Amino acid sequence: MSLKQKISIQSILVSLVVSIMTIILLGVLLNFTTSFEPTLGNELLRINANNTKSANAVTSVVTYFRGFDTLGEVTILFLSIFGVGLGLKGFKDKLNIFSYENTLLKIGVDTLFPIIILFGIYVIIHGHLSPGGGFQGGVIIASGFLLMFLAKGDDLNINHKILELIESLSGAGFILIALLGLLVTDRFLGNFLPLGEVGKLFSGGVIPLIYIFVGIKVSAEITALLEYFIRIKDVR
Amino acid sequence: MLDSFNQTPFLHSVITIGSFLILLIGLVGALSKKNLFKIFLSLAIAESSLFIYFIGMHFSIGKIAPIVTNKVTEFSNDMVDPIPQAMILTTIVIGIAVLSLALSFIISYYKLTGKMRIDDMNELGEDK
Amino acid sequence: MSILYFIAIPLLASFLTLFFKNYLRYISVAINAILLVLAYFIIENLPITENLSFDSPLAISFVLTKGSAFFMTLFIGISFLFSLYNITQNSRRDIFILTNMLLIGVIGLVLSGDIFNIYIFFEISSITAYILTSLNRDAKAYNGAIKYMIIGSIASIFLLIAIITIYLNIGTLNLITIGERFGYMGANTQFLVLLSLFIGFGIKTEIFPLNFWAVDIYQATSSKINTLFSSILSKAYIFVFFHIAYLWNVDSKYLLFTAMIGVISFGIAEVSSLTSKDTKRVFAYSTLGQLGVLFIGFSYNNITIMTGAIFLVFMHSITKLMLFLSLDILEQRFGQSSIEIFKQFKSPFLIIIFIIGFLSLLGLPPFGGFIAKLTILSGLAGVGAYIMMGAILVISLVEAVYLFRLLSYTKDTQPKVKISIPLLQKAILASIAFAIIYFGIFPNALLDISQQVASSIIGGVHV
Repeated sequence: MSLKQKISIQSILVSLVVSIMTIILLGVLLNFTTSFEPTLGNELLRINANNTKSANAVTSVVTYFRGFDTLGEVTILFLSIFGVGLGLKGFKDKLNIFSYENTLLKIGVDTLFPIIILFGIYVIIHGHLSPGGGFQGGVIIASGFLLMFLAKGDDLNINHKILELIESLSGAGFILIALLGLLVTDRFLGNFLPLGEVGKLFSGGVIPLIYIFVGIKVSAEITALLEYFIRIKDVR
Repeated sequence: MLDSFNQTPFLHSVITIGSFLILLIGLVGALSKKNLFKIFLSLAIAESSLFIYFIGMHFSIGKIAPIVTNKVTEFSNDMVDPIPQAMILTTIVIGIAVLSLALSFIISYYKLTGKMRIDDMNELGEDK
Repeated sequence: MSILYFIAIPLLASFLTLFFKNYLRYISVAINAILLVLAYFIIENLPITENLSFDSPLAISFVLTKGSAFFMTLFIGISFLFSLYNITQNSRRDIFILTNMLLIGVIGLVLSGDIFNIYIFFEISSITAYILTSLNRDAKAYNGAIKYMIIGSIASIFLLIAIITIYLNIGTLNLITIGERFGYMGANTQFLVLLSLFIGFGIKTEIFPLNFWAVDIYQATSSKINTLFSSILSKAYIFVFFHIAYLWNVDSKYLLFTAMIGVISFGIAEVSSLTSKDTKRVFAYSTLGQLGVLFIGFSYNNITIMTGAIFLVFMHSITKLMLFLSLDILEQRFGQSSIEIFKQFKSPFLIIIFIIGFLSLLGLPPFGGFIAKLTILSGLAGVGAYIMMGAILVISLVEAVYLFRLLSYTKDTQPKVKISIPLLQKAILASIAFAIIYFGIFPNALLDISQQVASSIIGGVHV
């Protein structure tokens, strides 16, 4: 179609979107706070202290009260990294994207890498005691690996088989914990470990265990994702 | 005078208007940009606006984080709602997953055909 | 005996594919068979509500009613036939994982009783659909996948807007509790939520005016994958959309709006297919048209019309399964999918299959599609919606034109290529054709089941 027709269709579409959005804004601003107290979150806060002795309410919501959403999210991450791998597996023209000599990076990374990994493990394990958890710690560990990719370039070879094995086993571990909960307490994802006291490392029942599996899985997956993307040569 | 800015309704209105503008920028960008990367970037911007809106609207001035420590020893109604935080955590990870999948498709498509603009994508259609 | 086995078993199998690389096609058939057996046993004690993690109305709940059980069993059955059809090919890890994930996504969508959980399963099925679109790994496939992802992300954004507004104003995420409190929100907020839900789900159910991308997607993938899109994916979204609408007792103007959109979508789809020159696009337009009829059927708060719609869901799913699998045989033999291939193949078996499929789509006796259309039309007459009846009949005539044109191509006198089909695939296609004829002549058992399903959907809460 001619240029004028193209422009007019596009502007019709855009103006349609803008008008829908304005209706939405009017709808929101004119009619807010008919909220029903107490909300679901307040109720869960109330029962959190007795049902799970975890000090961080957000962690107990993510892993226990709404643990099934976390299972779905882990599945989504697994699916998309699998999809990325299907498309990009063939590319092997890896080239260090920093193509200049950077001595400070090369020396510094040998010292920084274990510290970053240790920090990531700390964040994962203490998810139920302070802000943090499996996702946050997993991404920290993956960023440590990114630093290694940037510094070492072609010298670093990640074995994808090991990463896939770690992913599969930790994902299966998560589901097995959930199924164990089904067998022991007759509820999927039920809590079958002793609860302990609030504030101790070994507390919260099954919550830190779930977050450890999630943390391992997320770190393996994001590392694999970064490796898939880094191995593509600059296409411009 | 500056004290009137420290009220919750003012905060809520700023957050609403701001996130609505960002949502508008994102959606209009997704529909009118031609470069494939820019389209997906606009979609990511639009999703971020929703995160800001959701978390911001549940915050009132004076509330604290829902974590029990040495100083705050029990859960009370003074704490922020933990459900929106859990939901947005999940949604952020979903956003990352979808965006990385989109980028891999764009790269593979570019390697196969050399096209980067949505106008030039013409392999599908009636007369192919 | 827990509902969650339907989700946990395929999920566990997808995670552990590394250990069984060579037996995946048999494991796929086995998993679907196990799920069918489980479904048979669990259907005896409906309705079931299962809370996850702890026993309280505050938890995520999974609800099995007659409606969701019907759709779940339909999806598992189609997946079983699909995996049985693939047992003669090599074991492929990507098809195994993707079909399992698709099954998890649609079963979760249909069973879940919590709106954020529905969003999660919505995303799982969307991402599976994106990867399935790109499975051929050529330029067409990536083209379709990129366009699908742009539209799909817009759909998720609108669904998120709806969920955020609901939680801000109502404070809970459980579908039944939202339904109780929905009427207390202001009218503007209700409009906002319903509009966002319509845009979000409407993009995925491929309804006008949001379906301009859908036909390109069907052209981008192989016909075998199109069976999954057409038979499983779109039906799940339609069920969730209307299940939520009836559960929340929405305004009747909203249902009138969806009925109008349905008939417009039906009309535009059938008219557009007259000029199409690619068989996959023709079948895609036919699917879009039937989805429009389903929208009409679900929009009336009337048992007879909805019984016909449920019957049509069953008939359309198995008919499109049969048609797309047959088209896949042709496509693999000729390497292309334009209309001309209908002039070039010689196989009496396939011609009979196509005749049965097309006549059932049109709604002619003695096939199952006739019963479905008859029930819907008589229900519409009972409500007094004569204009809608007339519109459906007129547009069906348009559908007849292009389907008969395709059939007439097979009588063309050109040198033809003989096609031989393996015995297992012939058996599967023949059994589906036999089922279409059987349900056309003896429809009463299925009509009875459809009526129970319809009353469970309209009844809203727990029937």
